[in-house]
Amino acid sequence: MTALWQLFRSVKLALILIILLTVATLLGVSIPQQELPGDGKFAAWGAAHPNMARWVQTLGITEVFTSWWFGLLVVLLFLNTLVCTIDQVKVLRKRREKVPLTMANPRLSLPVADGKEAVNKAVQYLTENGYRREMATCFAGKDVTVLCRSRLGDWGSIVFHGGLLVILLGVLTSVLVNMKGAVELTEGQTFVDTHENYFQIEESLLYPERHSGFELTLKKVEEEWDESENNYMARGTVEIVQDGEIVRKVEVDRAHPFTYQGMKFVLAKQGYTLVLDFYNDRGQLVRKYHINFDRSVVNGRVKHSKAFSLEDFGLTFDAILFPDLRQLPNGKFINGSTQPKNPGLFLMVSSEKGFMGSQLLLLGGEIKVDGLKVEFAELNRWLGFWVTKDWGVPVMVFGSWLSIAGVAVLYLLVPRRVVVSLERTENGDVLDVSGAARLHPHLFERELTGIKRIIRGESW
Amino acid sequence: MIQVDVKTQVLLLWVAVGLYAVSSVLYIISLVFRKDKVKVWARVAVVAGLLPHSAAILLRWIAAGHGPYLNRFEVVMSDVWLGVVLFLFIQWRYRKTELLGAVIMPVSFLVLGYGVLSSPEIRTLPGSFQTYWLVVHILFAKLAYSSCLVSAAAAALYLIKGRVERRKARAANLWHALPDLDVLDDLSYRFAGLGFLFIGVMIIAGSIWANQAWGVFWGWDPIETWSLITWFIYGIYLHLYRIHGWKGHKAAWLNLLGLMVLIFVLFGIGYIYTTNHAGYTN
Repeated sequence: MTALWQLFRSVKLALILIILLTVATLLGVSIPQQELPGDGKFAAWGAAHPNMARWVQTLGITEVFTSWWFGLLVVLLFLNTLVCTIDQVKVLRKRREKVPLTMANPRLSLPVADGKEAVNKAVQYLTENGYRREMATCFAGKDVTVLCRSRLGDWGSIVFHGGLLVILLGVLTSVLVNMKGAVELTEGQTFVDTHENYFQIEESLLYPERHSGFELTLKKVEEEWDESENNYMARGTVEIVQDGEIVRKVEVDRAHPFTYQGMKFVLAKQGYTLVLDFYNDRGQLVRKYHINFDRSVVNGRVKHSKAFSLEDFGLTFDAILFPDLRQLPNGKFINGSTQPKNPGLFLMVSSEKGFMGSQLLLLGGEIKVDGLKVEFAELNRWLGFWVTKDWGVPVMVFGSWLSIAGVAVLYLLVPRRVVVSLERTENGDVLDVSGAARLHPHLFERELTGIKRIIRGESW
Repeated sequence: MIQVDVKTQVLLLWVAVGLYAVSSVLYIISLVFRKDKVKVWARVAVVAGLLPHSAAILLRWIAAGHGPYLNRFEVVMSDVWLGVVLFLFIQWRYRKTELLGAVIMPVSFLVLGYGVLSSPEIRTLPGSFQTYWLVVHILFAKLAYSSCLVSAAAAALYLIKGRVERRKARAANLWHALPDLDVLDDLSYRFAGLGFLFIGVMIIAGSIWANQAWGVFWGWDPIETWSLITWFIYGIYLHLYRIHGWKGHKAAWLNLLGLMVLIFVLFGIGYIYTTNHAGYTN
């Protein structure tokens, strides 16, 4: 146990771990990772560098940040920091019980007529200048008084490392207790908080899944267009209903997410929702279908397209939306902007039998396929939310501020200790004054000059 | 109207680049040929360069309606400005630190010249940028760059002075104007410590902002990851310096490595990676 403690209290181990983490992070950022957003990167890189990719896969460094060994390094660093911090507290306590070594080499040595009075004068001067008596003892035949200023500074490093520990705890909590999900809502639509209603949902090992069944209704979506008329900022009004009662009404945009029951809803996507009405050969409405269009930029142009299948009808559709359909003099159709000024829909229908037809529809237009009439009924807006509940975040934020406070204390409050000692010799009393301050030896010039003048009775 | 403003900004920045280049040459002459008067003229050139530089930033701020931090042109002009201001402050606060300019000013004029060559197009502030966490994030990124630059300048001069002193050739006379090796080492350590703190705050504020904007605290984005690597490097440096007594030579080299990585993070990542910070790196 002692050997283990000794191992973990070593700063050398901390250095080795930080260096290993640096190397691992460098590897992770240099080699395309399989598990990172933008999947497919590794495959593309592997195709370009097949030999290197084989090596990388053999070494298992394609998922560095989620690998067991990266996690192990973080856990070891956590234990190391914890033990080092406890050790630092111990060292600090012991140091306060010891006479500082600086007295072995006095910076100021003055023969004085009345030793006791000189000590009192020196102590009084230092007390008036913000020092506090820390210790008064007899050491090596001398009367020693230790005074200290900015003692809090001793704690800077400990608070900083404590903050790091809290951050690492937060990371661990975040890994074990979190949920991530996605919700897509069309204008007017209501989402009910149950597991299956999430568009995507991932819950970690220890996440206590409790869906309270609250409802979110997207009441309306407003748009703020930029000068190009291609980009807009969407602002949604969301109503939250719990147990049949409206509990909140929130405005949400990309800069202003909202939180409910600890779940954070961040507006991440926006776009158009196409509503298609399906009528049978008797003219009865048999199905109303909502399609959320993805927005992509191809060759600098905004494109809204989607392919989807309707299994009950056995049909596959390829749809391209033209929010602002314009016809050129040569008869070609183009999209003027992404504002819904004159919505047009190019619909291509196919089935197992093959291609069945295509048509460019304006709002209210229809296409007939296989005994069905499909009508371009409405064009609405949809908003996509990332939903997260992460218990580690507040812990990490707290730890971050704690570590910053620690560094600030470390830098701004430099503890200064002055040792005033009196030696009685055959030739009379000698007053020795020495000081110690981390990295700032020059800080004592003022104190030493002041004491010299006070003892000699000089005026300022 | 905005077109005219952009042209004026670019012109003012080129004047600043020119004056910073002049000051670089003067600082180097002063250092090598032991000309004290030249040092004064070098400082005059720095202050003279800072005036059009400040004016360009002010004009940019007014024209864009937001701080200078949205694209490379803006990021570079404000980072270099803060670096130069910090250098002037250090000259005023610490004795015999004028010749740090022999390192700081060449880096400043080269980086600013590189920045002016990028697109000066004004961009609208996206919605997700309208949070005070972003201000904290950006401010501390700039402070980190400035502190690490000063720290590396002290480290570089430490290495140069140490080398000349060891050779004992012309040393005592030629390098008298520089602070003592101990002082350079201490300066380098202290500003690296500040840089470490500022990088830490920058990463934390950026994470909190990311969590607000995208619901993700940490996404291993290349810039995030490389910032973490930079932070680790300065962490290693500080531990080695404080606890293992790695003062002087070895510490100075590690310090310079830290600055190189930081410059890569600030200006080089966009050339290699696709990143969430594309707006700023492009």
